[in-house]
Amino acid sequence: MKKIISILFLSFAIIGCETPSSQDSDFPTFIDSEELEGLANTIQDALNSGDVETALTYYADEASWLFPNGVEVEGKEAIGEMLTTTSSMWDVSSSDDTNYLAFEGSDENEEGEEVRFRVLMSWGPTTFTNDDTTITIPYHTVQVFFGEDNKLGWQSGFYDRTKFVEYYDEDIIK
Amino acid sequence: MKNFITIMILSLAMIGCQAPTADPNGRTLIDPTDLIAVSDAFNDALNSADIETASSMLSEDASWAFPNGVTVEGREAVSELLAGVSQIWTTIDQNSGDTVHLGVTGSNEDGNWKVLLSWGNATYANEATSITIPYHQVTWFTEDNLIAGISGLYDRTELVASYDEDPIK
Repeated sequence: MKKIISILFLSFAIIGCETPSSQDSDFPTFIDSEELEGLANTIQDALNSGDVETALTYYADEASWLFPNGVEVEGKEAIGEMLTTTSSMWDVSSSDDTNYLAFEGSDENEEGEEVRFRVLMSWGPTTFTNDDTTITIPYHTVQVFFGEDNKLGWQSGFYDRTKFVEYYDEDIIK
Repeated sequence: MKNFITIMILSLAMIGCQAPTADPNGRTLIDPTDLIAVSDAFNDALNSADIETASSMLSEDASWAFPNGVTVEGREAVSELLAGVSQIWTTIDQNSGDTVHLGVTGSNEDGNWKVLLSWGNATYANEATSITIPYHQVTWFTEDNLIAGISGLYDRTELVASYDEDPIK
């Protein structure tokens, strides 16, 4: 997945600046973020109810997740293990003040197949809660969805982990 | 994986090369070149401990929001903070990796706004240590390209561990 994605995005980057006025190509464009917000919320709702199995149905087999300490979790199985741990520990909710920005594009993969990708970016306070504590922090996430079925292939969060590391007996993201 | 985020971000850079397109909320991509120049000049001033020059690039009511929720408001307060931080770190390099930017403009009830979105790695260094972390920053600009606000989103865990006393509180 990573290699395919790399080629996909690099090709866009190269072509993009050479043909800035092209409007009928597969260049990414801003889109209404509502559908992707719904997907992201569905996944989070599943996790908050402890239903990791359902949440994982939205992930691509070769999905990966990058954390702000540089740790990367690769593959649906590994992500499932990580989510089993984190979802048993935290209920996560986004603020109503969260801002979203989304765009989409498409390109050919290594097999010459047309692959659509859609990106959802969000900014806003996010609250992590359990019976012991509540942590609310500024949060930015990037989620990349692929294909007509919008499988989540990559995501990354940018936020301060200081309070989490203080809370954990042992850091669960390492 | 850090390569991946660079690649993903390159796609954003590519978007910046496109003819402007607006999203359903009226936000439009803009050429970020001028905003990057201001941001780089601001960081250069900080790294040379030239707080006066850095301060001159801020609007009167500029604010700086940190990832721990602390927000410093007003040019004078921000400048005081910058003076303190520049005493701790000899270098804060926000372009230590493949940093890529996206310029976006829009409008709200307060008028037009424009921001520079940046993703990459930042390195904080002094004689004792060097810390490199994934970094995202949102920088707001006034119409005349003064910096009206900065919001940094990154993991402060290693930075806090290096401080005798956290300067951002």
